[in-house]
Amino acid sequence: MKWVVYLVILAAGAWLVGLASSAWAQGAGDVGNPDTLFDHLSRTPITYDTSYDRNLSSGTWTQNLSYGLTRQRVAFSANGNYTSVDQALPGVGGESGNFGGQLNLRATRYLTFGLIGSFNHVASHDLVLGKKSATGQRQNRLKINSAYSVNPFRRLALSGLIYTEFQQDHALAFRPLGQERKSTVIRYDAAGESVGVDTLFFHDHRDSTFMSGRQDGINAAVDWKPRTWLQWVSSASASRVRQNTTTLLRDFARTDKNSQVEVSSDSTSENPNNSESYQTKLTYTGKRGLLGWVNLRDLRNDQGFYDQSILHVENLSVKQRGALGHLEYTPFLGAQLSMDGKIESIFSQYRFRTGSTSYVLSRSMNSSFNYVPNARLHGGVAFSVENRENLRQKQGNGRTIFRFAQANGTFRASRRLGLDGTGSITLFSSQYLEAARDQDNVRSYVSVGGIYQVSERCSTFVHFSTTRSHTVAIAASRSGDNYVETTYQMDATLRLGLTTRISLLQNYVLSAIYHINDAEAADFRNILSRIKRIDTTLADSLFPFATLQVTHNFLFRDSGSYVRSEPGANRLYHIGYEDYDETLTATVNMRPAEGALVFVSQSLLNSRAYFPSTETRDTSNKWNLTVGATVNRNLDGSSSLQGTVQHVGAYTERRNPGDQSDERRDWYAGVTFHKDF
Amino acid sequence: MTRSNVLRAALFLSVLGQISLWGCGLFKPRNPEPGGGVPSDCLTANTPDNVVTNVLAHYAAVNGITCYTSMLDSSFAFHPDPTDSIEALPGIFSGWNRNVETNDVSNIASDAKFHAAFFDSQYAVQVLSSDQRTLTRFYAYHLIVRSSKPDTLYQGRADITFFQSSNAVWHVTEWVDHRDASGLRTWGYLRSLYRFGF
Repeated sequence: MKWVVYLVILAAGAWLVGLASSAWAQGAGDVGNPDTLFDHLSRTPITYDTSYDRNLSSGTWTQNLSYGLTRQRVAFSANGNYTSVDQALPGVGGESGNFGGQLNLRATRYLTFGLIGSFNHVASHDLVLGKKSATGQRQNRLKINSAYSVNPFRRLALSGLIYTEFQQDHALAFRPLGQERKSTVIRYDAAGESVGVDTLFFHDHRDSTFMSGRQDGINAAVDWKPRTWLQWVSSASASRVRQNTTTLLRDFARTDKNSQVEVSSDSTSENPNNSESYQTKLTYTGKRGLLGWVNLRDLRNDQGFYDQSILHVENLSVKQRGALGHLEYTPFLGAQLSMDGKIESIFSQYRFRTGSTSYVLSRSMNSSFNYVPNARLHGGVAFSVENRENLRQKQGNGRTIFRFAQANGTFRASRRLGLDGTGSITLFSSQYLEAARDQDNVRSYVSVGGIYQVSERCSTFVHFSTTRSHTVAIAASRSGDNYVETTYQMDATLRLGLTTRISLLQNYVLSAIYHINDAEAADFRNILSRIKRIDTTLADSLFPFATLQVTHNFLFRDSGSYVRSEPGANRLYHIGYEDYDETLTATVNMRPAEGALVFVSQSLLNSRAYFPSTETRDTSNKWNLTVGATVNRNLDGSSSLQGTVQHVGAYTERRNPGDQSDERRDWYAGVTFHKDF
Repeated sequence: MTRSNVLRAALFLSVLGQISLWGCGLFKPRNPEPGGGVPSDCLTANTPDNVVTNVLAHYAAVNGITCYTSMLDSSFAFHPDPTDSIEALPGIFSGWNRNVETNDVSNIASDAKFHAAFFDSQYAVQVLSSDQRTLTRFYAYHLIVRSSKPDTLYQGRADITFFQSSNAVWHVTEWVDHRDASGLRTWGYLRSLYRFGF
């Protein structure tokens, strides 16, 4: 076993540390004991929370109870919660609950024992054409562990943990099929010979699955800091799971003579799962902010599971290996250089479904340089590249290349004026033999803008940006749909404090989106869309106990073809439709008492659409009134109450006198109670 | 600014210039193969109906992948039928986003010799949000894909949510797959067969 060899290596490392023990007394800095469970003595009181939320479609009741205690030799915590949901439709809902607890004992300074249990239950019930359908799942886990951690020398920490977990899952489902399913079933006699065929009409289905198993595992870690500038951390873990799953399927049917019959089948399967992982990290800390580390990883996992599609126990074997490196350095004051590299391979091999086997090899590198000489200036560049190859697959072998570069900078020119800009470019190239996946995408983004502080109460912010995206399918069979999409946008914000009580906030967005096809033959599909948006908020704190807010949202959109009338001519914009949406909202908030808030909000949404080609117009007005109250109060030192109730009314004006009235009245309510014992 | 800061800013701009210079070659897309240029009949996605038409017409078609994937929102998520998820290979449906869907449909298109998708009916009333920009439709579907896999006919129900982004274009943001009572494999099962290596 490879992990045994690894443990031997760890032990040998510890022995070497012993030989080098003369050195540890000279340097500073200890390597900490990783076990911090008993570090902070505490007692969390028994805490109970309950809440109930009700709206138009469902009611939800949640309860939670928790307790925790940590002493020098004992740590105990327990938590339980239960949630039930009832849908407005009778007979439809669900519930879930879980209870978990943890008991840890410290036998000696270095040796601890733990007992961890969790018990979960999930159930739901539904109606299928008036018949009750129900599902339920239980999951029980009980884990016993023992951990040993020791600092044989000041700069060396060793820790190990072994555990065993007992597992049980039970799932039960009863489902009416809704409509009967006709099927033929072969009859057998006691000798196993077929004696005829029955035609059955299946109407209900019940399945029950029970899994029991045990997981055993071991973890070991070493943390060694032989010098102040060097640290070595290694860990190894291995686990083995043996699960037995028994499935019992029962189908209920009637014969053509309306007598009820039951067809059942059961199966048992073993699902073994073995896992091993190793990890080593070497860290070097130098002068002038120099930090570098290398991390090597190896993970192997063998998992068996019953595959319904092939009616067999499938085995998935995953081998994952990786190496990561990191380097950061401060070449001069205010500057920082950072580089990360990664190589990783993942080989996923299926025993029977060989078509799903894959080997993925990926290599990536990220680098960045940031320069902050003072609080007024900041600049940075970043560059990333990733190469990912799919190999040993029956289909879809090839590689993807990802490249990304970014630059950004900010400059505070004066106390009032600040400027900033950012730009990025991305290439995503999928290079595959199959035409369907052979494609490149390039995206670039540039934004420049600034902020101007006119006065203490007035500031403005403006940004101009452009985004360009080019999609290029390489194969001739697909390249007819290649296109460029370009967006030009302006964003602006104005903040104005008219008085100490009254403030104004305005946001502006102007944008134009061009969708231009590469192929001349697809010119007729070119599109231009334009958007104007202005959001205005006026807020006034009338009195210490009341505020008023008026909001106006304006949105204009149009869209249409952007095509040439003849080859070589300039493209012209032909508006296909125009759309105006305006919303005016007024909200009043009042605090009649400490912890209580009453609010009223009324809004009007006016929508207008115009289609020039048919000269048709469409207008709608929708009114909305929301009245509500919230409470958030401490009842005494150990309990609190939070709640809200709202009534939402909405009314859409009739467009024609004969139209049906569109009116809604909804109630929402929720309350939460918290108590410490 | 002091002279040293000016020098450092110049160094920074120089590095920036170098990257820009190098970037010209590093970020250039390849040229398409000659002989192409015939566009697919991809409708402008300015209504949910056009999105549906594009999805049905271009799913699993090699020359329709650009059209199909452009119907998916950047926040696209696919949710399989719970039973399909339990019976599938470990982790096969996890994190099913737009990238996964794009790779998956490309694999299906590469392998499929014939394909046809149909939304047969809407089994529940569609739900439109109050701001009229989010729409959920409940379709019963069947799908015929002839490929190297043993099954050809797939059937089930799909709850598809469409969202109208700020540029007035509709996209698919969520696709929830369900089995129906027919006992046939679902669209989600077909998808699961072609996810490997990503």
